[in-house]
Amino acid sequence: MSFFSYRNECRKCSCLNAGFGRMAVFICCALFLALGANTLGAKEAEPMASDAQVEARLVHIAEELRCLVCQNESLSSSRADLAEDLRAQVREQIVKGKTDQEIKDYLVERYGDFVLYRPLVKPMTWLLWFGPFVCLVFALGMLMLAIKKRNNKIQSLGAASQHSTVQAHHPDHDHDHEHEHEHEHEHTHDHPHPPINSNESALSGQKE
Amino acid sequence: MKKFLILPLAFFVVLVVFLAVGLKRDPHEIPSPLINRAAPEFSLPTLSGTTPFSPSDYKGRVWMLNVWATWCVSCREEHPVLVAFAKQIGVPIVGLSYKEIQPQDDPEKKLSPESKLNLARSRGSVWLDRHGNPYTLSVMDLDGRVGIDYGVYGVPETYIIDKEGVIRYKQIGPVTPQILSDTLLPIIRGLENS
Repeated sequence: MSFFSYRNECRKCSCLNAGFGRMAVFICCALFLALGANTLGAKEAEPMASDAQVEARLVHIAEELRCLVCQNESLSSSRADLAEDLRAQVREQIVKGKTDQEIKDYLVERYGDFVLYRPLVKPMTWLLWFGPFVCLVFALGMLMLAIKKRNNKIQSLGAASQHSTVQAHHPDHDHDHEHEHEHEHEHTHDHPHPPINSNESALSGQKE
Repeated sequence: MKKFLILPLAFFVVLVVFLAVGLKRDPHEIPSPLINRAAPEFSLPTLSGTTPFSPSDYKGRVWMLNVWATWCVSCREEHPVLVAFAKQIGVPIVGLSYKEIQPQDDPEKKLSPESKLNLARSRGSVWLDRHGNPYTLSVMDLDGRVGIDYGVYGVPETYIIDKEGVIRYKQIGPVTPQILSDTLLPIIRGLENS
């Protein structure tokens, strides 16, 4: 399944052709990031550097766009040939007076939402944007439930212990249900306060 | 099993399934927004003819657009398949010679557009003579602008365009005999009969 041959993907690594391609490009991109962030900056504004304003806008826009070849690089920092071509397109449109949004739309029309570093909020991406919050709310809900359950249990245990101290020495206490009703019956004999964790209850169970 | 473990376990299983699916997917295959949209219009000089070609010339026919370049290594893998199956494919295959002249071929940017075109034409025809020519015709996209309009981000890529001039399928990466018989040919036959 190795394919995707764009000879100069990332200048220094004319890779991606062979099986090792993806790995190699990954390493190259990593190396680039490690070594060259600053030197790349110099490269960005190569042609038409005359118009500083255009270049500033170009960088501003291109930082929000993804290079399709080195996918973890922005269009402004990638040295892939395609990134250079796309920057030229963006530059051309800036000169034509297009707005940032129009320029982004131009690229999205051709390459899809994938070129945008910041995913759009739309039904497709709701799970991405809101999923974590949904999970958070869900987890909080579960936590509240668990706390409530535990509180109820503690209360009922308190009530049960009061009740059982009254008839603490009742002779036909039902030992068959020991395990099912550990909390409700057994330990309340020994503990005026209900046991907090299961270890404790296991211990007191043995005592019985 | 303890009841309270079931939920985290279910989450974990879902997560593993997602990751497992993710492993099989190729991050380089970016779905094209151009599918089911009209093929961008262009008019480009051809490799050997005198009149330029436009997609509208093929209105009413199903055709394939195959992006290629002599410098593209994967194209050598794909090319014999196209040559061998050109007849079986049975629809015109238009080659898009993509950025034949690379920046390093002309580092000082001295070449005039005409000499660039001539150089690209001669390189392209030498290559096609050597490896076989499956193309009905090839158009010369020297600066890669048409490539950008079609969302090309790697070579080779192949598009299937229907009778109304709408892009129906995009193949990213080399066409293999299997992809051809399992995917491309059924699509082409379906479009031809519609």
